Amino acid sequence: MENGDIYVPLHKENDVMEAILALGEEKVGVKELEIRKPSLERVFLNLAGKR
Amino acid sequence: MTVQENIELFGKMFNSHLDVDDLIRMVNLEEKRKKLFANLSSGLKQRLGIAVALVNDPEVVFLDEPTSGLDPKARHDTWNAIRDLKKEGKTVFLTTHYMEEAQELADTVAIINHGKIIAKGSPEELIVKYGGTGVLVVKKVEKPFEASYAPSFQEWKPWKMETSTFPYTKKTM
Repeated sequence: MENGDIYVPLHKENDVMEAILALGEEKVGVKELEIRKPSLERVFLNLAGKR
Repeated sequence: MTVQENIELFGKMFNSHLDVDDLIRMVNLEEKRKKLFANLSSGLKQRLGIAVALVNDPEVVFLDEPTSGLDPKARHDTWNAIRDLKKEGKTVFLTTHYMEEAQELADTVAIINHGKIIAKGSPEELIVKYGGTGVLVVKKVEKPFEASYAPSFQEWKPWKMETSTFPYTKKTM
């Protein structure tokens, strides 16, 4: 959780569907869904943050 | 000095240099060739800089943050000019703080942190190795839909509505 948003790591193809179904079961009201793919920006942040 | 005069001046510094008209065409400055450098936009100045860097037809071109401070249109124009250099077979060393730019343009990326290369590879390799997984970001409504303004399916009984609030149905039962 960050700023009240939920972050779900995606490891497998079916993870998005499973996450959405889980949100429905928990009756979480969803305003917006966004899939963030890994990027070079994320690579830099992951590496530079490891100092 | 104009665009053309700038390129001619730098060309005179080398024994052999590329044709000025070819260079101007290469960076799409044909319509601006008689314009003064001072009156060019930042993006056009960067393109002129690329033309000057190419004046002696180098094998390797160094571009230091070529899109820093440019608006999105000028940035994309500069990216296209750099892609054209690649197509010409030039080796381009480009430094940038914009990871999106590196991902768009580079065949090989070296990530430097505190003066040391901490990772090197193609953008795809680096993303697979260090990018982690994708993430689904869920932005929640402040109150769940049910609690905020709608009855649950169990509570929703349209046949019990008054005719005044539901005018297209017959009298309620």
